[in-house]
Amino acid sequence: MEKKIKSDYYTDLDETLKKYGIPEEAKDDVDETMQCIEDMILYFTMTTLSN
Amino acid sequence: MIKERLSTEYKTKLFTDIYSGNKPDRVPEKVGVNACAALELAGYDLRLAQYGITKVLDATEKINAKYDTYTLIGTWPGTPWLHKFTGSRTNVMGEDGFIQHPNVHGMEADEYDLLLADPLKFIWETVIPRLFTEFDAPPMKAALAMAKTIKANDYINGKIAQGNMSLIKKYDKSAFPTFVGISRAPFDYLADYLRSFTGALVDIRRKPNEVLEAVNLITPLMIKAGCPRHVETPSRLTRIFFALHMPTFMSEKFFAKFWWPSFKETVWAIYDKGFGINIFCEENWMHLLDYLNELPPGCELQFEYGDPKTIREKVGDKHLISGLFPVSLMKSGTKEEVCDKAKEYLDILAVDGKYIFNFDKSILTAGQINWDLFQPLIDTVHEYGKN
Repeated sequence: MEKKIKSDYYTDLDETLKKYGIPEEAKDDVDETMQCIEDMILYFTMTTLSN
Repeated sequence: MIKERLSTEYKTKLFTDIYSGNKPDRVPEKVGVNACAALELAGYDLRLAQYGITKVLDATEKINAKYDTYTLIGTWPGTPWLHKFTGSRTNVMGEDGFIQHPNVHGMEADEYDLLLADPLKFIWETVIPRLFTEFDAPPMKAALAMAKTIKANDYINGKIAQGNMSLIKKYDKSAFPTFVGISRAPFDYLADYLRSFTGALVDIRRKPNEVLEAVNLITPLMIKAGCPRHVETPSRLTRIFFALHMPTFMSEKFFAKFWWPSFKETVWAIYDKGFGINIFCEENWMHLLDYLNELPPGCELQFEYGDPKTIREKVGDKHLISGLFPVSLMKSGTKEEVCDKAKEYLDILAVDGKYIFNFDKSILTAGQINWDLFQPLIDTVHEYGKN
């Protein structure tokens, strides 16, 4: 089973909805936008900022 | 003899075939030539040209106009503009224009409790300001520096990527991307970016439990990094690249305990999401080859040193093999020696369509090889590599 990332500096999709007060019904939409950026920033942190 | 002109589509198919598990029409070749070598060959000053885009793309164009390879060579130089925006202490341009990596580290031996409490928080709040001076600033100034960094990364790399795509079309190169994302072995991340090479090796003796817990917590970060969101439909054709650093500097006992399990977990998780895996096994992996068979099938394993026959026998059934050709031979050898050596590798490794010709290491500087030998070598691989 995939390990969950628990951090003050990252939110998964459910946490993103909760943090920004977005209805559960918009989950798929948020995944395409806000969660995508959340994940991209994590990638940026682990790769670009490591260089 | 009139040389065959191969199309972009043909060259691309060599790679899509081999990564799909099909035998390609001939041996694919993707030799590593750094953009710094191309800039030097074009007569540009590395200390200046790497700050721009035009000269970088011009140098890439010149080297690809001259040499007929399957993939675009001489791409992606250093990113000094990025290092200036971040104030990087880990990447600093040397007097010769090459990017140097000073021996600095972001985490002290007594900071494991902070790392273990929340690795990302520790990285953002402690490591990043420590290693990047522009982020060690009042909040809005640090935010402005980060905005510039992210914008520069997208804009400048985007322009270079666009330019490279035009050159791929113009010079009939393979359009298959070498890789779509990068990840790291969790222990390598700890050693290379946090504790330093020597620090990590001391820690595995003095703080073994903390190191194991740290590697365990870094693993999901490396898995996440290895599943980039811009890839909407992962497949074995979307490859994630790993450069493996520390294993050959550790005893096998320590390797098996501290390094291997989290790397294996990372690779399998990324593979299970659908991606393909490219691995550069730095240095000599001969004593560690059996471990590689615990990875998912179809990994591309690029080796630096080692006996090609043994590598073929031990991991060649399950994985794709690449690398090994000694780039130094193109400095010291004759044309005949260089071409014969290529045939030798092809005879051993290109027996069942699971071999990609590449050097043991990339050509970094123009003076590293005799360029009169470059095209004869590539032509030999193209011709002798036909099925």
